[in-house]
Amino acid sequence: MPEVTTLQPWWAALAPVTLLTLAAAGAAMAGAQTARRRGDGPLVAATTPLTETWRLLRQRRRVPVAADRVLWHVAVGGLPVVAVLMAVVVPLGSVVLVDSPVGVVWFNAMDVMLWALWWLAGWGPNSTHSLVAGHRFLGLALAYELPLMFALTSPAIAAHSLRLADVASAQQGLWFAVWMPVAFGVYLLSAVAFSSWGPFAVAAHSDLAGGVLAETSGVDRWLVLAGRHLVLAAAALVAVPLFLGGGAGPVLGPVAWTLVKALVVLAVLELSAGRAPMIRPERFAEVGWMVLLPATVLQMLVAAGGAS
Amino acid sequence: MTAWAGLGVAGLATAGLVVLVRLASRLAAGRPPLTTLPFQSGHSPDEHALSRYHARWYPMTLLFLAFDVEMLFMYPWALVVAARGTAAIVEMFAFLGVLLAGVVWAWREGVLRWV
Amino acid sequence: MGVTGVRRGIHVLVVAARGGALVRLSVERALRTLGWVPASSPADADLLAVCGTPADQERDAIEQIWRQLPGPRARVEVTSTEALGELLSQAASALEDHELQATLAQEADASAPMGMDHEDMDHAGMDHGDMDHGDMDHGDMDHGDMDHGDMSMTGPGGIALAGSSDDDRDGLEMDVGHVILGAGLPGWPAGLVLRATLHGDVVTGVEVLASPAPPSLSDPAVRAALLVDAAAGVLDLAGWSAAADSARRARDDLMDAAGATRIAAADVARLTRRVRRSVLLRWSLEGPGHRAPSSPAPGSVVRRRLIALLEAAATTLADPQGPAHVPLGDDLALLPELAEGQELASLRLLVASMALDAGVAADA
Repeated sequence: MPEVTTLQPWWAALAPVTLLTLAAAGAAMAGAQTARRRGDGPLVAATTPLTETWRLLRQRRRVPVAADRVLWHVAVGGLPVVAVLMAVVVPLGSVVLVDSPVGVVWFNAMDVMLWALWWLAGWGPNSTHSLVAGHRFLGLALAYELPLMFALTSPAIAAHSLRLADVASAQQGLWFAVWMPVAFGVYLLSAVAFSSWGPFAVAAHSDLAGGVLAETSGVDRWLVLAGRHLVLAAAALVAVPLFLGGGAGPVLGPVAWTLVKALVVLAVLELSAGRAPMIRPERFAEVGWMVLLPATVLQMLVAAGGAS
Repeated sequence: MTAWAGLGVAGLATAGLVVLVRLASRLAAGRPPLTTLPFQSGHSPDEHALSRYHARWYPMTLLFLAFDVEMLFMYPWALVVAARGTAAIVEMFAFLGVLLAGVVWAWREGVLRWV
Repeated sequence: MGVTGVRRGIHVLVVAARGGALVRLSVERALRTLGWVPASSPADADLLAVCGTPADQERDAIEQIWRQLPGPRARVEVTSTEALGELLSQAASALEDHELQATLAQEADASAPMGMDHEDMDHAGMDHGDMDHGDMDHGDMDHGDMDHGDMSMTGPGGIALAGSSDDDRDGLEMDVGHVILGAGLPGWPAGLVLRATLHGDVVTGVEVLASPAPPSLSDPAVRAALLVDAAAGVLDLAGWSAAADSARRARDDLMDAAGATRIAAADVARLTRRVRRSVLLRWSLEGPGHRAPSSPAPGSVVRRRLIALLEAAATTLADPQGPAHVPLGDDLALLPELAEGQELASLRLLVASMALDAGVAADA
């Protein structure tokens, strides 16, 4: 077992702010890309997350008639919470906030929480557009989730462990991303999908007047938008021990390498926005079940063969 | 148990921050929430949106459930497969093969298409 | 534009009144120059920009949209492109005017639906006839009686609960909903109002409540700009915002000056190739090829029209004297048939692809 020190629990209180910093970097990348397409300068682009935050925090909340306030609150506030809980099991160098022996399963559990949250965000406002978008997300989730689960299992099989620190240290020879490209690809694709981002932004898209965001303003909107970047950042962090050898690397320390790798993955995820037409659930269902699922099962067979 | 305490702290800290941001925004906005009608291009809704909703991908959920229960075996199996060797691999992939045959059948029945 | 020091990143809900498509193009170009962002719904908007002169029924709808902006909020009514920059910068300062915003917020609260169970839920006892603020003159508002039709006023908030129907496609006892699609939706043609009947997200019926009045155009550059604009709307709804932004840049160049026409024509040609070649777009709109099309699949209609729009724009630019006819036809009549059985989002794509704002050519 690799030596990883679990920090005292109260250090975990710093997790949200740390992840928010990473998410802000991600949001700035996405903002820069949008600004470049629209012909704005780089300075504007870099400050977009901040100006948007200021704009939304000063904006009034709005609640449609007979909205399901409680469940809506759960959805809106739940996104950042789930994102942080996803990320705390990731080892940073020789320390970790939560040294879970089943870190891979924990991540899986958190990503399934997102099903509930996106759907509730659609249900809460009592509005047709958002309700349709919430259900549409579930249609997509049914198609990406199983390939994702098999993609998560493959590194665990190769490492003989569900603990992220073990999975990271099992890659001393070769990154899992290299000899498990299918699993890594499916992981990235699913990360975009469960964040309802980029080509999989089915829960929040202009074709349904903003979808789950159709009735959402002010701080609610900020929490959903920030929550989405937080989830992307968390997924990027988890990818590092799962597929990219954890903190291993020359010259720089393991903490720096973890962050550098996470930033690169985050850039890939964030910059997927707007590049391709939206992949609608009714199209993706067949691909997910008939192509990606068998492919990830075969990937797992390869991993199991290599491990035994 | 202390290994898991960090989860509670992180979750509570984030929830606390959410509440703080909400309070800050309430002060910055200076007003309680606005009650509105749902957006229907400036028209009043005929009925509430919340309703018994016809989710046409429903058959896919049953297919998903079959596989999802299988994942319960998958994670423990992942830990022992190296120790148990080929026999464990054959058993698990025979089981997965049966499930995948079910997927192919469901696909032919049109479960994965609903438009 | 030359407007400096104006705040960037203001989100603007652009609502085009019937016949206001051309004004909308000017407004959207101005927004891009200012670094402002188009909003996807009233909840997303700081500023409501009404383009053109709304008719009475449209005014009612616009008033209700205005009441749905969360605030701080401002509105402008743009009827011509003159002094547009001035108008927009006034709106930006109105957003920072705390006194004005306090008044507007009180107005919004006074006219908010409070779960009253009377007939005229959002009109009774409210006076918002005098909302004149600052320099944004939006004339007098006429609140005609909204037609609540056969609604039974039994549910919470004075809104009925959805009822079930016997003709559900799968024979289930599910509820039937309705949604009005019209002003304020992204990429929606000026003046069109539809009422769609929904089983879940499936459109089972479409009723045209108001039709657009397409402009009659003679300037080929403007005609091309409207065609490219329609293509941008389709691309945006399809989720391909990079391509949509290219289209909008070309559109703005076409609207700018005659000098930029040639550059814009090259851009349009490049975009057409990109759209035609995109395998993902074809798959996203049409689905896999092995499905036997029993009827004209709406997705392939959308893609075909999208390409036709871009090609028509290119043709118009290449040969300004040529036949000004755009082969779009009387599409609105076909809409109910095409839309039936489609998803709500597909209906949006179908409508956008009809390019109802692009209008008929002067001699067609």
